[in-house]
Amino acid sequence: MELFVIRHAEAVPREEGRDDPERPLTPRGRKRWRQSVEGLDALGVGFDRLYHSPWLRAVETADALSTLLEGESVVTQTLATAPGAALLNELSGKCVAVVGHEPWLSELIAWLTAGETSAGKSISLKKGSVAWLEGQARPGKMKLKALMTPKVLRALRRRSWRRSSTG
Amino acid sequence: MAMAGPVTSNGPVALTRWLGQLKAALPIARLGVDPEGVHQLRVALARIRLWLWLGRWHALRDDVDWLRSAAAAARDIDVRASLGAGDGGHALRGNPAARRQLLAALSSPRTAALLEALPLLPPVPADTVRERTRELARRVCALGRTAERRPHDSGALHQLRCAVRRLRYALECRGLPAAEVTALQDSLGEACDCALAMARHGAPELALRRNKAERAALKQWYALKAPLRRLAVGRGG
Repeated sequence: MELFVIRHAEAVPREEGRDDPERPLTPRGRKRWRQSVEGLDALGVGFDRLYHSPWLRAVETADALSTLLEGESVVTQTLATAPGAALLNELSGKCVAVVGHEPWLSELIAWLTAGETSAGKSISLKKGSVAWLEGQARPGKMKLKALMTPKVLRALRRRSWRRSSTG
Repeated sequence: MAMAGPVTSNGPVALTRWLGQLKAALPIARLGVDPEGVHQLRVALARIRLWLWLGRWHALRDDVDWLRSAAAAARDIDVRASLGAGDGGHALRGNPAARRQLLAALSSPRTAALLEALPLLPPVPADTVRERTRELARRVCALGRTAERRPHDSGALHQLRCAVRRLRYALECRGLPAAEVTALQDSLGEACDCALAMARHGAPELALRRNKAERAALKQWYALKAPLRRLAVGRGG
């Protein structure tokens, strides 16, 4: 499996009177994430399955990935909590994306690569970042191929534009 | 058809009302005694699906479709029963496989996640709803012209039925009158259900009912053509 672990894009900060799951993306977060998705597209990335947390910022982030999705999108509460067997048992497909939240995504990456979630503390996953893993979706059985920050993804998009404009 | 709730035709459209209908239908569908519960569940999900389309949401559409199709087998059985065709009223509670599929879906983590996600979605802006409603009206006009040329083609009528239903939901979302559109949907529904039952189970006794429904649908379509054309070009609401 190729697994793309994606942290949601920039969202409005926590504030009084608004529950955490309700926080939407900021306009800048939406715009930048769309650009990042174009960067993924320039890399030739396509998913046959997309899983995302039910929280609004993850739903919005997943929504923008629909252009890269060839199969089904599935909402799951296993991406709105610490990673566990329930999440791994749910994942199926050859090229899969999961959209969720920190610190759980770092814990997931650490669990899948090093076999333990505690190593997640040494992983920094910015908002709108994409970690690309490969292997079997079981603890310790995956390798981290790349960790792409939003800046890198947007740069890939610009590079793709320059190529297509020079022919 | 009475409009459901005080909704402005020009404001943003929230999902609240359709979500309320979904939550009301769930326990009735779970009990499995009243087939109307399954029907209301599917109607609520169809409305939510349409709302997602109005708002140009791609996420969550597959989840709604999955839940609707889980209830589809149960609904088909009830429709056959209401027509008195096929297996002679093999109701939901008498079909263990359809019931199990539906119950499994209703209690699954995927449904729980969907019910958590839907209330968090913001209202769809009014101008987006208007633009999307015009698209729907244009589609109904195009499919209606096809149905005029082929008034007994069940495929053409089915496509028109689906488009009319979606337009009806969009009008209801906006608080616009939808009685005539609903009547057309009902006639098309009767015609299509009869055609399907005849194709699957014989039931030649349904032919008269089907013809009557097709004639009613055609008449209703002709009455709606002009208002729909106006709606399609943005002059009707």
